[in-house]
Amino acid sequence: MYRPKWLASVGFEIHLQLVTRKKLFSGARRGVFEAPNTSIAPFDVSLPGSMPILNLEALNLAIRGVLALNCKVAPVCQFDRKHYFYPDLPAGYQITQQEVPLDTAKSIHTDNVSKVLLDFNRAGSPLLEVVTAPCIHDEVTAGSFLRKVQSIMRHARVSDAKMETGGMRCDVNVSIAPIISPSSESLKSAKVGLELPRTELKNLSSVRNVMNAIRFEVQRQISLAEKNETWTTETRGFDDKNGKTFSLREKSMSEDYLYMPETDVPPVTISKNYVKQISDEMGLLPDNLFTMLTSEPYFMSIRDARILLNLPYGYDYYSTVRDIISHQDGFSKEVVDESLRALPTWIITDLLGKLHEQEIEEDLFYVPPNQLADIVCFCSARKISRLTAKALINHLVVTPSEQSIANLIKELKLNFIQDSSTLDAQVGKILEASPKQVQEFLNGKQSLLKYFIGQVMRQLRGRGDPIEIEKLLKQRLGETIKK
Amino acid sequence: MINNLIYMKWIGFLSHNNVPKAHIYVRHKTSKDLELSNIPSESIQHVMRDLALKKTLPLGGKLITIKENMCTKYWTTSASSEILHDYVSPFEATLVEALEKNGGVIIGKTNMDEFAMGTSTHNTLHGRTAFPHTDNELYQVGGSSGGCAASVAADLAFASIGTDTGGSVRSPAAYVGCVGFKPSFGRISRYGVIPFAHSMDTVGIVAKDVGSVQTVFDVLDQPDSKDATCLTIQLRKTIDDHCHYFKSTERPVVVGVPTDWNITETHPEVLQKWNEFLSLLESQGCEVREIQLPNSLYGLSIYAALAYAEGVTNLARFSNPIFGSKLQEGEFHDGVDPRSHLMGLEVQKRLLIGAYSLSFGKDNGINQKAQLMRRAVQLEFNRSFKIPSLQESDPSGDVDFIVTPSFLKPTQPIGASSPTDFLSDSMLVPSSLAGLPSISIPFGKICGGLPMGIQLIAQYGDDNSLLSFAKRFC
Repeated sequence: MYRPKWLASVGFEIHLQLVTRKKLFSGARRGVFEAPNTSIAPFDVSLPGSMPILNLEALNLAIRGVLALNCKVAPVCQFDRKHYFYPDLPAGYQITQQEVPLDTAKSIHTDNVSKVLLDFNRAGSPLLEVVTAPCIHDEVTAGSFLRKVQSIMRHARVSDAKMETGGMRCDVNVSIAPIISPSSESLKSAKVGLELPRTELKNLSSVRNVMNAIRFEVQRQISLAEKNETWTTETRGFDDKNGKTFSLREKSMSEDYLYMPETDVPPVTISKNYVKQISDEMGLLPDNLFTMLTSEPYFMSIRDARILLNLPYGYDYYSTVRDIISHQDGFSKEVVDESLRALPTWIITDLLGKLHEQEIEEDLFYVPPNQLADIVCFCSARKISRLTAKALINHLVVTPSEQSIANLIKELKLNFIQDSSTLDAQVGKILEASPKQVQEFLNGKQSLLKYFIGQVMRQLRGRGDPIEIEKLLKQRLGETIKK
Repeated sequence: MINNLIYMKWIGFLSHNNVPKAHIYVRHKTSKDLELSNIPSESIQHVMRDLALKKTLPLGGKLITIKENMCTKYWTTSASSEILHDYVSPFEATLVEALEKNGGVIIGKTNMDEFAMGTSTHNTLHGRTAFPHTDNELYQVGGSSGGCAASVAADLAFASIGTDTGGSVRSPAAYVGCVGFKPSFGRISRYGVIPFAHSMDTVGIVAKDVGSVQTVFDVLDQPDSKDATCLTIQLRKTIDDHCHYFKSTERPVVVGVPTDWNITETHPEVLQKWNEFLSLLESQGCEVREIQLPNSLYGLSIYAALAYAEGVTNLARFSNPIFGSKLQEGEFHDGVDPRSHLMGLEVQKRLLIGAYSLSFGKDNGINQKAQLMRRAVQLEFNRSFKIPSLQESDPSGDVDFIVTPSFLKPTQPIGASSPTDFLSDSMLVPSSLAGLPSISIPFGKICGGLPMGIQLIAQYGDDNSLLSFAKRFC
């Protein structure tokens, strides 16, 4: 029996909340975590006689967002009223843009045709709406795409793009189609049959949920299609506990929004100069940063660079610590260079690792930059051991402290023991306690040296200088040999 | 002293054979009826505060009334609708602040058609405003700013502030024999004015003569950062310079007469007066020219398709249950929206038409066609005026001012009606569509003593020379 191959197509409507100080039209502060109804103005609650005044900061951020996504800014920005009735929409209409004559985007990862709309006035906060064509065909690419959008928006300082706190909302359109010419190699040139009903997925609370929801929904549609059953065009939600999508409501048959121009906000002409100004002032975006970090003088590994840039304010944190280290007094150039070279690992393996282990948010600033800088420098200067440094980081993640690292070391009694006599005493103890291993070592098992060092370090609770210990061990063992 | 003057005015007004000269709704804080004993002294005190200081300011303590759709903190702002019968705005309209700050004494708010939709100033909330043409008969005062016109005609106020969307200040002013001025769209701030059709709503002024109108206009003709459609300082300067550039003192004033606006429904006495006024102009040395403005003949249809659609959007917020009174038990009947009765029939009719106009989509329907026609009306005006348009590169003409009657026929008794009543605003709507400054001035009497009104229209932004010219006649 002929079983067609299926091509899934996924398109997005992403809403990004702009990090403006004030709301889009009302002049009230854009309160994020404030008590209810303390950050409102007459226009927000549609009091009769109130009028909208466009917040230019929002326009600037929107333009930045558009540029960061490689789209072109339309020369005129004008608004429409979109009418529908919903409890949180007191006016009975939303000031939005029905369409924006923007050019297509150049690709981000794939040939991604994007339209960027300014969709405003939901609760008064400005939103940037990014609409993609259904050109993504699997959930992994979808996830990468969303993370890339988040990264770009954060670096451009347009939005914090955090799905969990409403900074980014993502509606996904999923549909499948049978591929008619099964012999085609690439999906792009696959011939596709009749499009089947499309599903809109809403209320997805994280990128992971988006991916899981897409995977489930595609499978659901394929199963139904292969049984020759049909399904409706509808809106569905996702239950992340059982990993399934469920019906929310029938998608309303072309609800008439009675669009009309919003004449109370006169159209804004955006000159090329204005756009260029904003473009010039923009910081580096993830792609440029990636190139920069993986080249001289940073020479980060590709993996490290990618992880860092995907963290919220990862680059900010890294560059701040870098700056502090570079300007440290009291350390030699070698120590500074060594610190800078080791920094990515400290951040990505040690600090981030601890954050993950503790299952808290990926916020590197749990360990303030100046503290991490000290830790790394002390370690490179061999004032503390690697183990001690790691212990300090772990401690600070769980118990934040404002103390200087130097004080913390004293308080926690983590001083590096470099004193030869103390170390030597420990070395002696360990060798006495392990006659069997000493014999094996003398018989040629050189690897036991590491074992001895480890034992000594354990005794010293990680505060020993391993290089010094190794020296002392070799001395003693050498003497033993001589004996 | 002034206290007594008001009392006397009011007493005088009421005691004329104990028959009220005009039923005018003047709102004060606790009572509806205009009877002296019903005005609380606290209200009088509020109104009369800072009088000595105000007399030193531009408006000099003059008494002003304002239309019931302008937000005030002291009085309720109901737009004469049941749904706002107890609404008190937490903020004041910019124009209200401007009047107070410049020495105006606002004595109250005047009756209007509900949400400014209508031409009769008659509603269930406040009742009807009428005009006592003779001792026996009360005549229609027109609308929607009927209360404004009546308060001035009855000498209660030096001037009254109303809104003119399709003739709502000029029409009632003309019916009662006063001056009604609608400035260029965007000159006076609309912040705090409850909107009906926000691309046409214009704050207007009624007074006995043009000089009085000018006094008030000077105070209100100011920029306002709270209203993005209110002309900025820079734009005002640009417009003033532009208009000034095209003025010439050498040549005589050229007046345009759109003879195609003389439709069959024009009352013969109105036509006669129109001609009389033109003769007067010629005798003063003006040059009178015939012009054609054919697209404006569709004005009422264009207006219905556009203004009513804007009404739909502006009234959408009132479906929110915070407005209007609570439903009582058992008030809900199956199939009938229980809150419909909070808006009058005229409003309901217009909202239905407006929604219909919008319902074929932004690019296809009646609304879209009407938008194009509106542009055609603007174009034909631009072609006539000497001052070219600042926004469009339309060709220009030769005319300084356009002269028409303010109506097709004068007012009629309450209860009377005729099949051509729906045409009442036809002369006034075109300049609303194009946002042009226009003014109705009284010009004698017709049809057994009823006021006649003549309308003068100028190019966009040319408000002050329009007022100067009009001053010659009133």
